[in-house]
Amino acid sequence: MTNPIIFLFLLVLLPGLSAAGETKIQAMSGTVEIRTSREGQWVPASENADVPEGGAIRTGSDGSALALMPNKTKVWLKESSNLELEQRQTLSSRLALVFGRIKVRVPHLLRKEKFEVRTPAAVCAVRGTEFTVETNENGAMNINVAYGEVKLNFVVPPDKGAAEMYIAQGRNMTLEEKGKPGKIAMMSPEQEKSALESWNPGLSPSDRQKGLKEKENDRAQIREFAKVTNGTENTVKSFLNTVRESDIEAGRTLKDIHGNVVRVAQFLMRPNSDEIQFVNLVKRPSYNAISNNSVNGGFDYNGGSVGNRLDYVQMTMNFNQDLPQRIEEWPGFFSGNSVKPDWASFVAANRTKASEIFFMASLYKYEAARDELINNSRVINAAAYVDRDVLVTGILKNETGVSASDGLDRISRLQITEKTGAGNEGQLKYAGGSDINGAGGSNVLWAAKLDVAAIDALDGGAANSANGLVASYEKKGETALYNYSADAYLVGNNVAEDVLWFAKESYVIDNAGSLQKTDNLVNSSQDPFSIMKNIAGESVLSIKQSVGGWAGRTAWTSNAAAYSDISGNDYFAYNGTGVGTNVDVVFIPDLLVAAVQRMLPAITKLKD
Amino acid sequence: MKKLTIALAVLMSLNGSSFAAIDWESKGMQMVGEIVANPSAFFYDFQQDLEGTTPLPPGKTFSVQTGLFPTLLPMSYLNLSGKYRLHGEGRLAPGVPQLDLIGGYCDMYAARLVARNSDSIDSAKLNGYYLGAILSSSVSPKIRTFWGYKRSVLGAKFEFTPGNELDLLGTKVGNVDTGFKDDFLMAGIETPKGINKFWSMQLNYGVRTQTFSTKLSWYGPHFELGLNIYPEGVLVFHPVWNFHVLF
Repeated sequence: MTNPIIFLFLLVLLPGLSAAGETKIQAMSGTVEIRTSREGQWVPASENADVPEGGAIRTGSDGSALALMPNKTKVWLKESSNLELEQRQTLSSRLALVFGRIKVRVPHLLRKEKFEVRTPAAVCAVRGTEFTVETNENGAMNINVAYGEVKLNFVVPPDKGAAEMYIAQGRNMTLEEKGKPGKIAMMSPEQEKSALESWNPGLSPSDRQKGLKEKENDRAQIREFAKVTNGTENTVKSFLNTVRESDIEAGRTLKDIHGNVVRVAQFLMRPNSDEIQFVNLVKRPSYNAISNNSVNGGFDYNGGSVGNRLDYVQMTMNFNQDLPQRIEEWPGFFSGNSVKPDWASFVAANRTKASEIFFMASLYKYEAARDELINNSRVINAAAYVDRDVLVTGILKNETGVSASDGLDRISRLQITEKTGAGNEGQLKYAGGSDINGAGGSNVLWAAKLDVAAIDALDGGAANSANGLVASYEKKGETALYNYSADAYLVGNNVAEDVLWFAKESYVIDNAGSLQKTDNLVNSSQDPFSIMKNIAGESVLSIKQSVGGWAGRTAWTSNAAAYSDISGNDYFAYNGTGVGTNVDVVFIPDLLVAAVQRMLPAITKLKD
Repeated sequence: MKKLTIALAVLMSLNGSSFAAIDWESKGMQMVGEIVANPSAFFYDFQQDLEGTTPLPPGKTFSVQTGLFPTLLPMSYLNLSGKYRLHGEGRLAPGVPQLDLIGGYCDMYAARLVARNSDSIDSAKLNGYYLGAILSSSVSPKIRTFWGYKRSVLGAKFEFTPGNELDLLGTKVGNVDTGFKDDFLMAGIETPKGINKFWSMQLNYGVRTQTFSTKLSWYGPHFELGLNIYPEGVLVFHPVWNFHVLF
């Protein structure tokens, strides 16, 4: 086996080691003569005639020739030219153009191989080059480099200018006479044409340019193609613009904190000409969650395993004027001082069963005196003014004339009012219509947020604040990005009614559902867009019973004590199970980032 | 001359009316919004200004370059780039394109100055580098096409002084390490406009960010003037002035 390998190796090396072959006349036309040695006689040339080292080729006034050298270099001689093959060795070749015009195409050379063309005035060293040289016996010369580069050394260094110069492709060098500096200029179109046309012997002028014309046609076709491509590009751009200018939407499939597969779809819409609405839909084929998260300082889930679960968050904002059609025009629109929001709503809901919706809604109304959107008892047109956050929450079911979905839509548009009268504390009616809690079994309440000042006031001025009461609970992650919190609400803002806890679990997760740490976000060396494509936020919202109710408020003396008052049981029962559920929404920042980028001015202008 | 004056007058009046239609305040705020949403991408556009991504002219073996405007002034990016020709066109074999290696490093000095003079930022570093290769091939004596790849990285690290940490869902964040990374595919065309003077146009495509940018350059033996266009950038047009020496 060894011998054949050595043999093959030698076979590969052989061409490089062998002595150089001879230059041949490959084609000729008209008068062409060769000389086989320096002192030899000129004899008429014939095709395939060998011209050895020291030999020469000359053409008459009607002659032209093409010589092929052993290293595949081609040399074309025009009429009235005289070329000597001064040196022809394996790693070194030198031609001497005594007078006339030649074109040389030097293909690949070996690493140490040299190829030179000498004229009476200069030596041109070339490599991977195609160029033409014209000279006369006095040394005037003209070089056009079509491809590659030529390094030129003058035999007689000029008085002024460089004795050595590089001529890059596309350039022309002229030397008027020996001893004068060479001038480099860009090749003129005529020179370029002359250098590139076919120099094969015996061709008519039109045949010489045939190849060039074909290339020119190819170029024209490329230009035409470029035009068509440009047109297509414009069409695509216009299509993209159309898509961008339409209402924005985004979507992603990922896993939530519980390991459930989630499909999130987000839309930014304009349901009416004076409204914008953001909808975040969360669909899960199956839903499971930890039932006893209270052991971690969180809140229990009582709803069990559920199939085809649908949760969503909807934010709606209504303005006193129609919004411009194009989102890009919104910044200018919002910078106008006459634009005010009329109302806004934030609704989170679990609509797994279309006929029974568990929800919580925060509603806002514009107050001219404060020049901002306010969430207080005015959003439900309450008889008594309560300037604290009001939560509307509960279970909506199909009622006579109002389906659960219709009901939620009316609530999100603030088309509700407090139901007054004894025994109706915390109850609501649709504006100018029926009770929300009708015969269908809906159970919707409004409640006002409690804080220490409110507890004092409701206690008739008792100084509970002096006892260090708190009406909220919070647990923060250390480096892990989660947060558990709950706020106490008093139904109907009436001390005779129940206290309920609005409990929230917030997580920052990645697409695999893993809880993120701050380092994942701020020390990733990635740009924010790349990070945001891989992260999501999750909020688990529930309404919990109070263990001690209003009577037990005096025990809320610390964060831990407040947590003790939050029951594991839900306030509202869902789907006839006797136990409650939660709203579990996953947010992806994709649409928000796009919206913030495009609407930040509007958001800045609106401030609150 | 009269026609020229009329044409100029019409152009200027058109220009004035189009300017009047732009809400500059809103435009400015929108730009701020885009910078806030992705600051790395904003600064990376300036890094692209200093990146030398055209092939070495035929006959040149290597070059060094530094970006003057807008990178050094006013953005204070101290920067140095280089190109090295691995082999010339047709040197290895007929038709084999020229292969240049490119690379460079930059450091935003102003970020360090800001940190030095800030009570809330302990240290701030904004620096980046790029590495790549460009193949160039002649389609005619005066037209070269080139295409290539580059990997660009911009890193931004900020450390906050104790007590001035950011608050993220209740967690104190003492430092932020963000940045921008992308792999770019480049294609362009170059033509000489005189001895040692070239004009080139190239299109860059960021594979990860899926963004296009265009570079138009005029360069001679020592300076490069350019106009970089980032259609999705905060500042769409960047006039560019770079200094380079070719060997």
